[in-house]
Amino acid sequence: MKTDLNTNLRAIWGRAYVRVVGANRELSWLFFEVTLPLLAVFAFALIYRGLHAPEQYIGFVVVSGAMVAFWQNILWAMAAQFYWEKEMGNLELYLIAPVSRMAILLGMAVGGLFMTAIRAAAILIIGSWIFGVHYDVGSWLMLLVVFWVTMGALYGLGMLSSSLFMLYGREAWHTANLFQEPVYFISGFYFPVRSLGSGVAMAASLLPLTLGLDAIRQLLFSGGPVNPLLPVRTELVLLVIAMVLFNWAALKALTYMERLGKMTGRLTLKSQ
Amino acid sequence: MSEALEHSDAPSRLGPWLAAARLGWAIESNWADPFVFMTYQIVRPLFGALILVVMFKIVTGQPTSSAVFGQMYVGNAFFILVVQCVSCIGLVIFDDRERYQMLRYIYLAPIGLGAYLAARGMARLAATTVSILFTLAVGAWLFGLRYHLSPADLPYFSLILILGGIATLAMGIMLGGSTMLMAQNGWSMPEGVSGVLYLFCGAVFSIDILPWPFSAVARLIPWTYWLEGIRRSLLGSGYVASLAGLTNAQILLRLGIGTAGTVAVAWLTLRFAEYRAVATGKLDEKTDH
Amino acid sequence: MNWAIETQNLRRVFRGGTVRRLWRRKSAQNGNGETVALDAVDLQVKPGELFGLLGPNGAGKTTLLKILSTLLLPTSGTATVDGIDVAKDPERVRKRINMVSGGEHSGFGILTVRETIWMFAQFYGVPGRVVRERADRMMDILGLTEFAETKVSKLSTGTRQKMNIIRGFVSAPRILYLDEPTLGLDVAVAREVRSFVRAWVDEHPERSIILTTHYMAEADSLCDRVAIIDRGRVRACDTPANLKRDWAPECVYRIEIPLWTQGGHPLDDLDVVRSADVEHHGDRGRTNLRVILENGDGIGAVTERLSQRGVAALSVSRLEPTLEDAFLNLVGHGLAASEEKGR
Repeated sequence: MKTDLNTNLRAIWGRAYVRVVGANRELSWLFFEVTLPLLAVFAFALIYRGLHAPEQYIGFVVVSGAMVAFWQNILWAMAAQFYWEKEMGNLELYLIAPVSRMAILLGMAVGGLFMTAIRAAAILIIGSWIFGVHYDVGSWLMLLVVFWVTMGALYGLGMLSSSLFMLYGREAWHTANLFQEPVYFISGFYFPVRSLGSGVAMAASLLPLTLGLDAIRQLLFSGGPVNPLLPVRTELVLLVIAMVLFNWAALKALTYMERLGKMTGRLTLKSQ
Repeated sequence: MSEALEHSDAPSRLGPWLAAARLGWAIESNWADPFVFMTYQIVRPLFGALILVVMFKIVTGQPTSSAVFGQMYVGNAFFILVVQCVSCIGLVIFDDRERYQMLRYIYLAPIGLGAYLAARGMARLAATTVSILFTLAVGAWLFGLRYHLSPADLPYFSLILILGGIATLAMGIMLGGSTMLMAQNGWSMPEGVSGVLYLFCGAVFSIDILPWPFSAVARLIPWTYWLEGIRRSLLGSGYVASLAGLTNAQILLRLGIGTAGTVAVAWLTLRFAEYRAVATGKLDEKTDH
Repeated sequence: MNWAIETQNLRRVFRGGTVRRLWRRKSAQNGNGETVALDAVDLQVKPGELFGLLGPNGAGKTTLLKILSTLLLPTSGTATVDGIDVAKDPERVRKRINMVSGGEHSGFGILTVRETIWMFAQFYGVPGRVVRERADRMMDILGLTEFAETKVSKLSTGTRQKMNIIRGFVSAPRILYLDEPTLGLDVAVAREVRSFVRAWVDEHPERSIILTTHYMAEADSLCDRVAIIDRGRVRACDTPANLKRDWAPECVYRIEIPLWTQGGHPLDDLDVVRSADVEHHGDRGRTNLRVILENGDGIGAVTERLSQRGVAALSVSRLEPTLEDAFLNLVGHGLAASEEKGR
């Protein structure tokens, strides 16, 4: 048991190392990962400015821009990574190793977290500075708790998705790509989700991103009208439930998909 | 004998070009499943437009049939072409070099990299036309937009579209060429560049609100005039107040000059990148990261 | 006896879809659109043994390795590794195995050779200090030391494969699977890899290696025992010497004739000829026939047939039997012919 834990911890560090080293050796990521997403945030902020929207909406866009970084890290640098690594030939080496698949995924996510955190911080700091966003934080502690619980739920969702990427490769990649804009839309990345109507917003709450963003906005802009979906405490409870459920489902799905892949022979089949 | 072979078996110039376009179609269309592909072509632009609709509604409270929304909507719909073509051509080199490992053979083939990239982009351009038409139709059907394209405007509109298409293909080729000198981790660059263009050409907001020097850049790039020309043709009026003094012909002229400039820069970039890639051995070097 | 590997009546069938499309050209396919990749495979590998699986492409070698490495489930039958059932307890199996494949492109171009070896060793819980010691020693043996700090993206095919070999060995597995490890390597690198593999088994008598190959000489020189596998079935399993003794025909001749351009070969309707491999050398204007005869008396009939057809026998020599002859005799065709059929 102790040996297994030790091996899994080593696996997390081993897989994270690639990303950490990559960030140091190829500094071009600073341009790709920071400058370009920042410009996208600028574009949406300028749309609001062009429409003479309240300044708070520009704040929403900046905060969303930072959160997008985490979401993209989970979806593309972790979940979809199983697809790429299958194509490279790494996946089968992970699968024959005596470690949990979740440890490998966690390694990818943790390794990417460094770059993601820098990207998110840059968007938040530079975006706030350029557009003069004013934050009014109600409770820092609550903000941190909500942020990390949202991350926990999102990583659970990402691991769940990775089981699909593991087996369905290219098809899963296309599906994830397909849902990029719909996810941005229904989770209210660029506007308060309640604007979609309570029914749609509640349905969108199945995505932890929706609740997380709404709660974080409420906590960051507590002084003004943010058109909240639910009270922060309720959202936090729902996020905790989502975190537990998604992580449990991910564990089950990874085991199930791996077994299904072994039965059908798709697990190591490339170029699908 | 050999001379006869050279003449009779020499491939036509069009043949390889069509083959590349067909390959582009097969790859882009998810290995020739037209239904999946069309869903893909429609869902993303549609939700992109919906985000815009909600943003507009919650801020202004105006109906979507208003003139300002029409300008935003049409700009956003046509900009899909830039996003899709630039991303597509920009990623061809990564795909062919890293994944399919075919770049070296394409380089050796008589088609030439520039024509190959353009042909791949043409396939996407054709498919994206469907996305644009669908988005415009949704605009008219759901959001009450009215288009005023008269037969008399058609030649002008066609010229605007053709020049914009050429400029977009050239931008894609420029990025495709640049990626020859990059490791695979630059995969997000083409999408990022289209994001930059989105910002500078005023796809959904007037470039007049851009601070200097961004506003100056906006006046240099052809897509600004492309979208202005499209808006004038389709909606009967332009969007950018500071360009209101320009006649349609002047818009066309500026677009033509911008397109020519983009083509020239793309050609130079591609030649330089090819030369550097061959000189440094990067042409078929699999970077794996 | 505790076998390192044991399979009993192992069968793997692929049904429909992409997998079928990939396999249908290479393996036996029945009328239901099913492809039988492995059929009734019974094998036992002893601890400390270097065991070869010899067969053409599509014979089922890689499928067998995938089952043994827990990447694929058998359709029926059982397979155990170190006494553990691969289908029932894959986690315990994984603690005992590792695998290296030929033409492998695993790893990350941005990492150095040393980092790559270290990273994969972490998945086996090997402490960094131990990885370093083992990797240094292995890199020294394989002549890889000067590339230790080179990025993987800069490596040649041979150097990269040496790194992969070390990646597989560094976790000190009880059982190591080598799936065509010398595929695409030049003669010198392939030889280095083979001697490294042989030395490792000799140094670690309790550990086993399963090697798949379609290089006859590799199986002959390297393996303690060899199973000849074709179209999913094990045709024979023994030491290379015994296989040659029991299955290789004694009457093998090489006959050189002027370049034969009429298709097939000039002896194709002769009863005494069991099989013949044809090699054309257009540059020299020669064709070499490697002929297996039913008995030693048949050579007279051969020369007579050649002269009847106006073909001069430029040279005739009798050959020592090889593993390839045994393979030919067992399977009914050579590796090249088998691959040709596969296409």
